[in-house]
Amino acid sequence: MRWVTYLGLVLRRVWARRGMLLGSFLGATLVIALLAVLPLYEASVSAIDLLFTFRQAPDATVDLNAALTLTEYSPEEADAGRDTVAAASAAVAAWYPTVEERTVSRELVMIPLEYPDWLGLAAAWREAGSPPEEAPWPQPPREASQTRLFTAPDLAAGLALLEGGLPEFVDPAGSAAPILEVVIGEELARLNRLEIGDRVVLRAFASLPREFEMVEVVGIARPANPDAVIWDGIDPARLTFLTPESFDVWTGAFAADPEADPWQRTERGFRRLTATRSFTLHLDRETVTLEAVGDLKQAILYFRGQIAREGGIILISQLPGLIEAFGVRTVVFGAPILAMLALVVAGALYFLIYMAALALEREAAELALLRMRGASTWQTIGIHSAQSAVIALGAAVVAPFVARGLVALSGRVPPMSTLTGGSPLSVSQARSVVPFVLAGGILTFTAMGLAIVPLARRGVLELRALASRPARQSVWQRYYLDVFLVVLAAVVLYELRQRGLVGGTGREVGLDPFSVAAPALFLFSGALLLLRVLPLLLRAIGWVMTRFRGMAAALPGWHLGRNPVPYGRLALLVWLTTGFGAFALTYADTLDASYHDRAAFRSGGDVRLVAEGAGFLTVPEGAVGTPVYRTVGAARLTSRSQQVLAVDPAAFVRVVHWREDYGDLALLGPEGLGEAADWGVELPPGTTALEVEAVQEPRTWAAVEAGEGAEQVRLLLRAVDDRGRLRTFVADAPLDDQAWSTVVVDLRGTAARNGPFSDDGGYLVLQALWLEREPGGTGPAVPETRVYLGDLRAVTGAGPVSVFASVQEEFAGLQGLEMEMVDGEAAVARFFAERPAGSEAPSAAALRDHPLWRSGLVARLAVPERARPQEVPHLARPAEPLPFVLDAEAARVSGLAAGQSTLFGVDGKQVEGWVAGLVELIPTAVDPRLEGAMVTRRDGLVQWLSGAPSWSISGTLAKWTQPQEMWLRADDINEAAGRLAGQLATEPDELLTTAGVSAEFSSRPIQVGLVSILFIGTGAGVVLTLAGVTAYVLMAVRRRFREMGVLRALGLRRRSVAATFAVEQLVVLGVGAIVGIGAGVALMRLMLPFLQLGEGGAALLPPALMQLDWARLAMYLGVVAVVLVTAVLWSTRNVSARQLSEVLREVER
Amino acid sequence: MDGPLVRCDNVIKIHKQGALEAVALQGVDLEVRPGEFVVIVGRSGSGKSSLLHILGGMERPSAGRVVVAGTDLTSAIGADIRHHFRRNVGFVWQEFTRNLVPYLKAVQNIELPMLLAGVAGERRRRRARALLEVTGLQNRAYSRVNVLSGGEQQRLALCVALSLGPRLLLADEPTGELDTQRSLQVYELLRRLCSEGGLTVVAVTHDVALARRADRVFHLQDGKFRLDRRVRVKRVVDIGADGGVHLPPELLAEAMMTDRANAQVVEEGILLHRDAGSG
Repeated sequence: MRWVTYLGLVLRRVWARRGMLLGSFLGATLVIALLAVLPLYEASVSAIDLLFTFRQAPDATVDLNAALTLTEYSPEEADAGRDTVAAASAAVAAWYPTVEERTVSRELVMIPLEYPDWLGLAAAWREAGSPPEEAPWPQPPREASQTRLFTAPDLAAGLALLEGGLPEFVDPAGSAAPILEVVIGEELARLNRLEIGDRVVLRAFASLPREFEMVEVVGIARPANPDAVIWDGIDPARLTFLTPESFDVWTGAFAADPEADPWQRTERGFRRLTATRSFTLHLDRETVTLEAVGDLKQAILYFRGQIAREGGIILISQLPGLIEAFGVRTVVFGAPILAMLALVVAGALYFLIYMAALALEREAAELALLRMRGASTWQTIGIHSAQSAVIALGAAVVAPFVARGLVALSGRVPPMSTLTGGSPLSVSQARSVVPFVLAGGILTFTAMGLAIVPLARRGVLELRALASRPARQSVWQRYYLDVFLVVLAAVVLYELRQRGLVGGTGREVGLDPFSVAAPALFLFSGALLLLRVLPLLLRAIGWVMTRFRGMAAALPGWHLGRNPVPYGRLALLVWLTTGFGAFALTYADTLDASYHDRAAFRSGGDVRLVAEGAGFLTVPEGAVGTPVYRTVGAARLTSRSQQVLAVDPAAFVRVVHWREDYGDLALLGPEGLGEAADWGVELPPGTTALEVEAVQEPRTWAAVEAGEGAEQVRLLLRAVDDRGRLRTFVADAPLDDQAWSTVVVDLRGTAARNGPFSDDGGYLVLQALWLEREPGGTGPAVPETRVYLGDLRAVTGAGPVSVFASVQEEFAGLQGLEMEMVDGEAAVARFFAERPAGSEAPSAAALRDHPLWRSGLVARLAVPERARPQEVPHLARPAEPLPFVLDAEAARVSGLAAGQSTLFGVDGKQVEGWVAGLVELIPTAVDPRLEGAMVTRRDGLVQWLSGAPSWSISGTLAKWTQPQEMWLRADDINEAAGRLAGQLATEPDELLTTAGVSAEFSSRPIQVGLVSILFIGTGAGVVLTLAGVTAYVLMAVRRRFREMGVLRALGLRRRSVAATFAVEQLVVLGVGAIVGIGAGVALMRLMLPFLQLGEGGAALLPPALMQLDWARLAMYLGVVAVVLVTAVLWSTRNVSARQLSEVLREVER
Repeated sequence: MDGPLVRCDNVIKIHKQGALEAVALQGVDLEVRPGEFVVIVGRSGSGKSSLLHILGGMERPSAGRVVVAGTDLTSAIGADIRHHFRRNVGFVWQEFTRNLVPYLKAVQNIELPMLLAGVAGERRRRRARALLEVTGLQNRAYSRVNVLSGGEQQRLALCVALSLGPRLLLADEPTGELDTQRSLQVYELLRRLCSEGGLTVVAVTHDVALARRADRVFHLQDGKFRLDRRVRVKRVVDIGADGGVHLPPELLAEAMMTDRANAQVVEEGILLHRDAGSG
């Protein structure tokens, strides 16, 4: 019963002090709510992030692809695999309700029947009765197409027929000469000019010559839905489709009637055919929830294990990786979120303690009364604790709702509202909030309850004194605990800097709990230390103020100087708020700038387009562009690779996004990488062709008479246009070996072997000359021969211009080709060196009249015999050593310093070069597998890598080093990007814009969540400070009624009294606010190393730089100032409202 | 108990504030018998409140010995002091807010000390009712403190102070905030409690009216009792038309006077003191 009475007493006490305790309740509610927000907010933001992750990921990433590869396909094994997958997929069926099956063979070559006429050859062979091993088995031509056999249970649904019909199952047993019916993809039909009814031979690569099948095209199709799961990873336009039954029967061996088979085979079928049966489990994205994401990962691992153990089936899925990346991101970005929340909680906790202390000061008189009436220490503590418990309990009941409200509200506040569309954030709950609410309840109860302990032991008179004179030093200061805490915070911060924000082993990333506590610990310990320093500062300010004559300044000055401790506590509250606000603003600005810097670093320029030949696209009007060739190389030929960027220096420095801390940008311009490389002989403007006066070293007269044949050779040349494109041209005729002749090389863009190119009036530079045997086919690419060059003339509108002298001067024979100047008579001398028996040597006049005779010097090229795999002997200008600019990591790995010469390995070739300079970072070098980056000239590198031409008279030209990237700097980025990409026939491999990449970074829900929580914390801080300041000022006003009365009695006007009071409070608040801004900025500086962590848990590239937007800080300070001034003025309104008679009565008391 | 309820021997109290020291009491000797109504008067700063605080156990003397109701307050520790508060003394202060818990009703205020002392509920209520009746506040039992008049509040404060049945009531300016009419009510009550209830009262006051009603009045000046003003027994005597005064024998015995006395005119009247040659 007594307990009920006690409780009644406590409840009455709470009710009686409701005004003051409301502040404590507000603080307690916020502390508990913010603790409850931890799991809710983190889960809610993570849930959105997960949703985004899964929605944005392509099917290929989230689907499961179980593949059973059979080196010799058998239907039984394939069906067993299906059963295994069906059984194991029960584990993942909740997320993967549908399974798509397909069976695809390895590549087969497609052999046309017409050229040569294989059926005719077979018939002739049969008639000749030759032995079977000499059978004319169809052989693939050099230009043979490849295809793969494809089947699926619902094939008909997946195909849209363009011509013909669907294939029927043809039972080999049902006919003497069965022909497999197939449908082919449209691209395959186009390449091979196949029509309905055409027959073609298909043969597996690994099979024997006799193991092939002739198939009949019954239809030409394209996929009904190109994005359908069954086409994943393959190009349906090049497939050969057949029914599942046909696939099963025709991929095995079956008996054949030799009489009905043109090649007299007794066994047919695609034997030894490697095929893969795939089962694609399609993810239903709606089923993925945050709570179940761990289960999903486990289920996938179980599924993988089951199918691998029982069926030897491999699971190809990027989903575990995706989930892992999501997990890493959650940890990496969860850490700052938690740290921010810890900061807010710490601030709210301070507010709570502050309010509890204020409340206790008011209760001191009552405590004295209780002590006097016989209350023991424990009874005093008990009554106060019960009061704290009532408040904590009430707060704990309300807090979960507040927490949910706060989380939901964050969805309506920018920047989160940009993701949620302004609707409340859907609250997810991955973990129970009960432990957090309990912890919050205990924390708030302790914070409020502990304040009574030192008071409960005090005597009656001490308590009475406390009621009229606030406390002096706190226990923290008395025992130097504040200094200890600061040292502890410093140690923790140092440790964190050493260890990093996120730790873990292997691929498991875990959050270091220190990292969450560190900022709060720092802020809190700093605040406590400030509690020691602020009174001194305020005392000094007070002393200065007393020097003023006006009462409004002098009186507050006296007060500040007399007992600055309580003012210090008030200033500290403001300090915490403005400190957190400044920290939040600086953090958000830094994060924003970092997103932009990272986007700029990743995209290089405003726009970066990656596609084959992208470097040769036309730069849109109004933009500046530069082609970039990107490859991998190694400085000093070490095994440690670097990213290599080959650029056009002059344009590159105008386009690249560069930050000062990357180094000296001029090093990447002409100043560092030098002027344009000398490709060879610049042809006169308007050159349309090159006339080459030449003769192949003639057969001797005797050989001609003996009827010996000559190996004909044809001249080829390569020219570089003004964009750095290598154009390959072929002479219009082979070189004659019986007379000097002129061959013409058409240099128009349309005539290029690797063209066509548009001629836009730019210059051409002759880069290489070489020879090739005519015609092509088997044998050496070029026979050992000699060629005499008499003249090379550029054909221009103004007539021919000889460039022969330039060629002799600039070019050298490379890859074994030797060039020397010889007498023009050398060719005719060679002809008559062996004469037919009985013939007479020609006279000098006859020699001069001979078509092989030429006066003066000619160039003789001695061409060694070379096979196709060998490099081409050619005439060209040798490449010169290249300048390289290395980034810090590349320099460290290679141990190279500026000015050093060495060999660089690029694209598998050795390149001579020297280090032109060092920079810290090179944009776009973000590949974590590489160690650093290097930049060099593009034209120079192409000379080294592709300076040697390829054999090309009839075959496909070898690809040469072409820039696959185009970087742009433009005013209207989106328009420029669109116009650039619009020039491509196909989708680019990559199209990056700074704005796009930045948006991709900053729109990640988890990042957005981080910024949102900063703003929520800042808002909460302002509200708490508002409440704290109002409570303090109201209490101070009440406590000092008597003093005000004295001032009024002395003749001060009401407004003057209010003004002195307001000035006093505002000076304190101003000091707190200004110091707080400084502290927030300092905290940000300390926290900066912990921001250097990207989504994947790796260090940020480029590192984030702290951003200080003073205008925004000033604006924030202004808002806080307005709020606080309003609070102070509102609270002091009582001072000016009181009548003189009232205040005089106070004086009398 | 036959001996004095309060006994102070050469009590010295020095207040320290930083480097400053102020002597509040300079060797005070005092004995108060059970049932006595003693008033201590003196100017501000004379040491009245310090003496009251020492008797109440709120302050410890710097030197000397203080024993109240058998409790030696010179060496008392926390539990003894608590026992002293609960069993020996009751306090009434000048300011109402120091006497009463404002958010409790009258009866709850009276019950509060008993609740803290662990008195059972029924006993608490009975005792509270009895006290309210004695003080004439039975109709105000469930009124809040702030609706009571000043006199009622001070009477209620008396109830609260007496709720645990202390043997000594310490009152610091108990009528300081009351008008004459209400002050008289409080005096009468205190007087009645002393004479009928056996309560011992030590009050500090500036109020001459109250001092007149005391059994003894001590004048405290600069931390010491003025010996010439120490009143031990007080009686009203008649002055004859011829100027003759008849002093009762017990008064003479108390003053240890026999046949002769020296008469001296002082500010307040005529003071009789023993003649050097008298017995």
